[in-house]
Amino acid sequence: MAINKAMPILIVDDYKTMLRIVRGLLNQLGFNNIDEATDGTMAWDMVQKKPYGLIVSDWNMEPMSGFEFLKLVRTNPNTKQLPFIMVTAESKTENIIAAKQAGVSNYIVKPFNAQTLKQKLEAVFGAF
Amino acid sequence: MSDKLTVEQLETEIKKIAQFIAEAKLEIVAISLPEDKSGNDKNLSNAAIELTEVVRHTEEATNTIMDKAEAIMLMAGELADSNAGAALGEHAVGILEACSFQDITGQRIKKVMSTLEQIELRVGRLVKLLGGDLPDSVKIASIDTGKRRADEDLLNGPQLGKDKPSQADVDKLFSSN
Repeated sequence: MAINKAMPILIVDDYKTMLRIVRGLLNQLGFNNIDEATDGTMAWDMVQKKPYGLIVSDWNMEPMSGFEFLKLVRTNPNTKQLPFIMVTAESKTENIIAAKQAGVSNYIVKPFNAQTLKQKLEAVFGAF
Repeated sequence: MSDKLTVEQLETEIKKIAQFIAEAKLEIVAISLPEDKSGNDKNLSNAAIELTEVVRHTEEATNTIMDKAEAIMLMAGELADSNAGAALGEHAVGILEACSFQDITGQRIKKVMSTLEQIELRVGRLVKLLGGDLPDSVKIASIDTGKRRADEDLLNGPQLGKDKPSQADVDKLFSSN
């Protein structure tokens, strides 16, 4: 899958600091078409209204978690192929297995750096 | 000598138990009271408020640091010396990455606050069970033991250092069957 740096990206996190960091790192990698949501409910609403090329989501949010959001994305025919990268502090084996079984495209453990984010984007879209 | 207690001995034992319960009640009520003897707020509710302030202050400080890092990133792109600009930009990205500590510490503090809340609820219920009085300011809600979300069991927050897997560990697990 070739990467289009102009594609709309949705980043989801309940910490505004993290949204700003992820946005900043994506900007550094050349991605500037970025929207933000602060939980799964808001993100799900946005995904149904706009054709995103990538979702980068936290797990632990309320009222809807990133995991519940991922499952919704994967069960909807319009979004089930949408690349979805989980960026979370939840790093237990059962979390990674559950996310993988739910269809996550890749998994990043917080704290992370720009290089890790780039590697995971390349794992999903190919080198850029 | 008989093992059976006399009425007097039984009475003494019951009095000791009653005294113990009365003292325990005073200790437990003291935990729930809004102020200690010196007039300072040192109860559990106040500890949660203090922690909320810690989160707020670190968020403010983190935003200030990120403002500066982003300003440096912009300036780095405008430098005539492109090598120096790239190096400066790289350091600024490093500062931005390091700011994710605010998320991790925030999640840890949230876990501590949740534990404090549960302790306060249980202490309050214990005081009521022992027949003690609590000030109106101390609320005793019912203890919620039910699950709120389908993935509740998977929400553990950041792992402690010795248990925390590296990104390489996660990648290995993710790529395995």
